[in-house]
Amino acid sequence: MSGAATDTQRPARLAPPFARRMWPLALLAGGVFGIALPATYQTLAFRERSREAALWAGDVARRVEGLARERPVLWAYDQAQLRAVTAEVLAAPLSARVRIDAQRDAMFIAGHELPRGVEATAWALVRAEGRPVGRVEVRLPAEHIAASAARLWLGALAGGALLAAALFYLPLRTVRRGDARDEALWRDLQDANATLEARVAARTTELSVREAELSALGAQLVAVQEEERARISRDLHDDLGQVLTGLRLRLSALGHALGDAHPGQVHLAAAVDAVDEGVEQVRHLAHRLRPAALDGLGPMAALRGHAERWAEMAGVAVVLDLCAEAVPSGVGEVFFRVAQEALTNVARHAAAHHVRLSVGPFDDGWRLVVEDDGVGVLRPPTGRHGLGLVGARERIERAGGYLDLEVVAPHGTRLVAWHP
Amino acid sequence: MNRALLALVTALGGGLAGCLDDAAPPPIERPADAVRAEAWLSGDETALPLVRHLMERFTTRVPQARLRFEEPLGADGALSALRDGVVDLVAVARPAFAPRPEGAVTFARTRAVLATSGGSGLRRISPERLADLIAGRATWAPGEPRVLFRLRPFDDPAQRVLASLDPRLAAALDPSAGAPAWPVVAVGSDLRAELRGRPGLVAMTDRGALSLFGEPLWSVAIDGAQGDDHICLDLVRGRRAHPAVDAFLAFLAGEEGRAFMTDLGYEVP
Repeated sequence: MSGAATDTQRPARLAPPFARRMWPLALLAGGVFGIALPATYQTLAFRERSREAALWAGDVARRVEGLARERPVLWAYDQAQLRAVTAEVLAAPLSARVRIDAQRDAMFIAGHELPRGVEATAWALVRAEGRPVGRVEVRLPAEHIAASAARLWLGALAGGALLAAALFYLPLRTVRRGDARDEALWRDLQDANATLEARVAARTTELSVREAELSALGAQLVAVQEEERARISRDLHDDLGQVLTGLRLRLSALGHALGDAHPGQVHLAAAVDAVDEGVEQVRHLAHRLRPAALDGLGPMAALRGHAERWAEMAGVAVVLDLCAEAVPSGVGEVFFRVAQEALTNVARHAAAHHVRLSVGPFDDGWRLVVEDDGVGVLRPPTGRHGLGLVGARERIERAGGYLDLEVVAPHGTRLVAWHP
Repeated sequence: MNRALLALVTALGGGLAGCLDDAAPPPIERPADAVRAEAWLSGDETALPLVRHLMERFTTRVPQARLRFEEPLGADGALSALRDGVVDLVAVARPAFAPRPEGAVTFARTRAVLATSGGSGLRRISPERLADLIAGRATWAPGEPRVLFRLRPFDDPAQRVLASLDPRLAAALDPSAGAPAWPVVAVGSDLRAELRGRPGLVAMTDRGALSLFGEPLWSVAIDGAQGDDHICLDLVRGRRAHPAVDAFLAFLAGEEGRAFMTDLGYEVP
């Protein structure tokens, strides 16, 4: 696994994008809490205080209306009476600021002036005969509301800040823990992958060694087989052939000794013929196991002789195209055995009429092609074929070559072996 | 936390909350906008009773004159109504040492007095003692005649004369310096009723009023510290001319009016 692949497959950390998206939301929630709570309190408290001022203003206005009914024109100028009715309504007149306005530039004021913003204000109309002839303004001090609101502002802002911090930090901590778990899992997976890769590499190496050993064993098996064939062929030719030859000589001598008129001549002649047939079969068997030409004339001459004999025996026309150059003896022996097995398969399965066999240099090596016009193989070549080709294939592949068996259109089979 | 900070916090919070409602006051109709066919007279508690009596005498002489009175408004209220054109003639009283209202004409004078129902030890009270008693800084001594005070609003001219006697009295009567130790009676008729009904009660009034209402009260004139302890009764006309007002002023300047005031104990300039 490459480094780039590792970085790509590394789990992405969720905490940074989560933090980027979460902090505005947390700030918004904290801000809403820190502002809405005191603002709501201040609004409601001031409204309540204003409602109280409105009640007072209305009460004062109703009493002033009594004065206005009695003195429709001059009521607004009788400050003593206005103070009296105001004092009747307001238990503590100085706790509120009252203005009664009825004419130009004339204003009755009771109570103290209050700074703007820390008082609740309400107006009430003074009506006489259904017409608004004056107005009463009552301003109630609301310093306690402002003070409470100020404390609440501070507390709510602090609470809002804490809320924002909690909304930001607590989920972020959970996400970070998730990231840490993902990171740990990823590292465990990486370790498992590394262990698995090491085990695969070890198994691959082991398989390569085993394959090399098996290949060497196959080559050795082929060599041993070749050697054993040569020994058996030699033994058949030298030992059993000599015995049979000696037996024929003795039977011939026995025939001369008995004379031609001897009645046993018939049986003796049959025995001589049987011995001759045995000698021929021994010779043929020895040749099949290890042609003498293979060791004497070379692989190409042995291949030519074997092909010609096979053509006579199988009744199949063989076209030989053997190169004139000297093929190395190791390559020639392998090609001889491959061709020998291929021709045997053609005789057994192909029902062919013509066979073309060629050996020549090809692609910095040597190539053997055996092509027939028979029925072809029943199944596509899968690389698994007769045991006779196994040893040759092993030898070829060990030397860096190959052996292929393929179907030839429209019919026929082609065997191609290349040896470097 | 000071008020400025509170106001700032409230303004900021109120601005955020949208809770500060500083809407314009509702519109009203002005009394001066009404068209009046009759002349209106008004004044303060000291001067208006005399003008009311003069008016009654005047209407018997000139019945076609249409003049109208109402209860006193106080000097400031009456002058405000005059400036607004709500009334056409105002009668106000002032100490002789006090500034005269613009356009005022003095038509009578009287003296400020301390009035009581009699039997009190009023003569033995010095101004200093009076100031301490009014301000509540002193308690009654054993055997000292019990004296109760009833105070008028500070703009009462007789009370201003009393305040002029001594700075301590001025301080004791100044409502801005602290709450008066004694009940405040706004209407002169209430004060006179209390004087009649409660022996030993002492109040500031003027000699003309006592004579005008025929009160059997004992009084002591106050010598003003600034040389003239008289109370001047002034008339101030409005900007708008009115025939009834002209006729009434002519009546006051005439022999009958002056004789009427003199008979009541007022001094006529």
